[in-house]
Amino acid sequence: MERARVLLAEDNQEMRERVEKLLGPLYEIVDSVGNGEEAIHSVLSLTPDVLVTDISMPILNGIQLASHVRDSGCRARVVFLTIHDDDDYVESAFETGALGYVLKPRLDYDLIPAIQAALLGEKFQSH
Amino acid sequence: MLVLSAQLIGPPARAGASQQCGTCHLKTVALLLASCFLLQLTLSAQVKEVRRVLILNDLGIISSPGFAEVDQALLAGLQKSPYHIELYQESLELTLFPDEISQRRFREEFVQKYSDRKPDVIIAAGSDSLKFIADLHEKFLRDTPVVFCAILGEVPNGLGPDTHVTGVLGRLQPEETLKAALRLLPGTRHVVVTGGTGKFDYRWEALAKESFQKYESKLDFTYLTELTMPALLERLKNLSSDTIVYYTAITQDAAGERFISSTQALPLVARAANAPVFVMDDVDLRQAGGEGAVGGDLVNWADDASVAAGMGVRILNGEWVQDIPVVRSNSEYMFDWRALKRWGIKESNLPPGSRVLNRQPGFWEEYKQYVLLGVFILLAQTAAILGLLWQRRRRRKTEADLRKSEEKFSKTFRQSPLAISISSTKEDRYLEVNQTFEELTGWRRDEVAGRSRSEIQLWVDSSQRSSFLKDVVAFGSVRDLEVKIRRKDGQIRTALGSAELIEVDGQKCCLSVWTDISERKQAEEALANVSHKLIEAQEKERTRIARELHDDINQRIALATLEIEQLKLNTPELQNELRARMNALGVRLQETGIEVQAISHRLHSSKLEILGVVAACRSFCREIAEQHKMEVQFSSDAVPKNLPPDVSLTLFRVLQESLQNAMKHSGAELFEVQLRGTSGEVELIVRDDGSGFDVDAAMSNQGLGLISMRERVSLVNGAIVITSRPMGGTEVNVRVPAVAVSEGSKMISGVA
Repeated sequence: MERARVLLAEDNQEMRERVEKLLGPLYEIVDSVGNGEEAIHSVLSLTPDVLVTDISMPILNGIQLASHVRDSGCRARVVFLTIHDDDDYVESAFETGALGYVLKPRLDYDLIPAIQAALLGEKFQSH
Repeated sequence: MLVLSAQLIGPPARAGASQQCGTCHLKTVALLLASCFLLQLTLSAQVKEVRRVLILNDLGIISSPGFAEVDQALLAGLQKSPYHIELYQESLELTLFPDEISQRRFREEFVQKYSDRKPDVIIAAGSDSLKFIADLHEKFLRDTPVVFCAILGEVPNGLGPDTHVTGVLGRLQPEETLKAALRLLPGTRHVVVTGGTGKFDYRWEALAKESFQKYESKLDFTYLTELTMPALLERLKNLSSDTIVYYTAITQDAAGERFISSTQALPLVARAANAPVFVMDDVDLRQAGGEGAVGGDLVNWADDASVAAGMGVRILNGEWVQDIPVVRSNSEYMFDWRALKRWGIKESNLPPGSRVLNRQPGFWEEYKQYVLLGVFILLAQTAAILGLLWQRRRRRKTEADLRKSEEKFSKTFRQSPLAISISSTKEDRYLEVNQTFEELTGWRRDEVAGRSRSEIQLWVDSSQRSSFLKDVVAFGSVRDLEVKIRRKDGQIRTALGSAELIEVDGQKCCLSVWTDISERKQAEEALANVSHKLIEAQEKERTRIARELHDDINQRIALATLEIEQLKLNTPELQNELRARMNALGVRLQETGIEVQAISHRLHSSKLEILGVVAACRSFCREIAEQHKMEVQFSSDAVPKNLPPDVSLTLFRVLQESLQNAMKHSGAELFEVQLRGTSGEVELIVRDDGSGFDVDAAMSNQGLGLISMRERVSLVNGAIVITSRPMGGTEVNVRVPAVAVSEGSKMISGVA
């Protein structure tokens, strides 16, 4: 079975490596970028199945990125990986059409289920 | 019907009356005729009963002006009778025809005339007339009532007991005249009594002589009665200074020449005498007053006649003669003013009640009205002149005041530290500028005078100048207007000024006063810049720290948490106690992360950047409400999604500041926040129903929160209005343009 293709957008290098290490065995990491603007280009050019993105990022934040992805007609599912444990963020995140909302401290437990759910078109949110 | 005796209308008297006296008598006759005629006309018109009245006098109205007056008075009196008076007039003419034959002829004629025309009343004027009637003994006269007048002394003897007589007895008192004369002329020693040789004259002389008897021992009396007129006059010319003359009557002189006593003889006597002449009756005085007749205690014959006429009327009306008693007339002191003056007699010495005739009014009496009018005109003119002088003085004072005022204004204008200009509102031409104006603008007075705004182009914004002038004309004044002006050298200055609409020579003008505030503006701008920079620096620093906390510390905490989780996953053999401790460590790390995130959020709201101003504001309202356990109602409407970051930040900071202030100080329980987009603007309203505060006082007390809000709003070209009143709540209203972005603000947003 072909592995799902994942694009990672995260401005913190250490966190990015951590996520790559977690997802590498299961998914194909098509690209790993440090800001929203780079992520747009990669999404549009690489058309990943899933976009895992942080919210707070320079130049273009995750919410704006997700909105652009949605508006661009790209079919990549979006899963947010963030430390913002706040309903306003969650609400805004899902308003962009994202399917997953994972809190970073819950990375090891929730990110893969969230990606899997997203691939199935289902929503996932860390608690 | 009028019947006059033949004597009356016969040829002129042989008395040789002067032309003047003749004219006088003719007038009297004419008057008498006219009176009778009128009396007839009046009575006949009324068809009254007829009564015959016969008037008989001694001398005739031409021979005696005295009897003329008597007849005139009788006529006037009889007119009061209700009957148609048939009047007959007869005269004995004793001075003209005193001889027995003439008198007998008259008597026969008289009897013949009236025997079959019996009068109802006979009025006898004069003693001889009364005696004539009494002597007739005619039957036809026996029952006829007789009224007499012009009689001196006593009622004549010979009137029968059955004669019906009444009348007025004249009172001639030469003695009283002498007393008065002595009082007026106390130095009198001689009295010359003049008289004539006529029958009539002797009677008067006798009366005088009798009256003067008691004075003969004190005074020297000379009776000049038997002289010809020339001789008499000659004697009178050389009288001593202590002499007075008493004139009785002269109807005939020693030469047999006849005179009308009053009008012919007396004037000659009075004119000739070099001493004051006193007379017997008022007729004499009136006739000769101008010639020197002084007057005296005089008989008034006309008054007696009026009384007699009244008696006649009463008899005609049916009263019995016996019921009408004889009365005695009153004499009267009368003097001629001209003679008094001539003889130097003082009026103050005249007997009490004296009447002064022919008084020539003094200058005051004669010209009183003119004098008063003149004085009035003079006073009016004086008043007018004084008024004019006063007005002139006042005008001069006003002019002087005006001059002073103008000088003061001129000096103030010239030396004012403020730039002043006067320009016409119609063409906007400069009329006058002062030295400070020259310094402010760089334009000399002679360069701008008479030139228009468009030629000088002093105002940078010419439309502002147009609007300014329009306001001055419309409202009369403009206050505290800030304008940018271009000096002659091109330098731009800022001036603050006011203007008034004034009138110069009937022309509407604009008086403008300006002060150069360029330095102040620069200082203010510098201060504002500092303030802005402080705010910007503060925001920048807060953002940096917040980001450090979020991007670094928080990420590290998250990773550390993950490490612990990883450790737990990778060592399943871990003892339970160690596992529990690791769990607890994980939880503490997560709590620390949340705390750090909260600090970061407070320093700089990442939500503002990421979720926008509406979400950030709503979130803040919710947080602060939970924190203070209050209710904050938040609403938003049509707020543009992509507001410039500095605008969003300004709105958010104002919200934070005002809501925190309200929470702390207002005591309110309900807070309302509205955020709404309008055309090109975003409006934020923060309202509470608390105790309110004095905004001006808070501003002047350097309330940093309020000042900071104002500075922030001004940074994005917005406007803030704080409305608050004690116990009336507070409302903060902020309007910011939705598109304006300043350089500094962009810098802030770039840090996020």
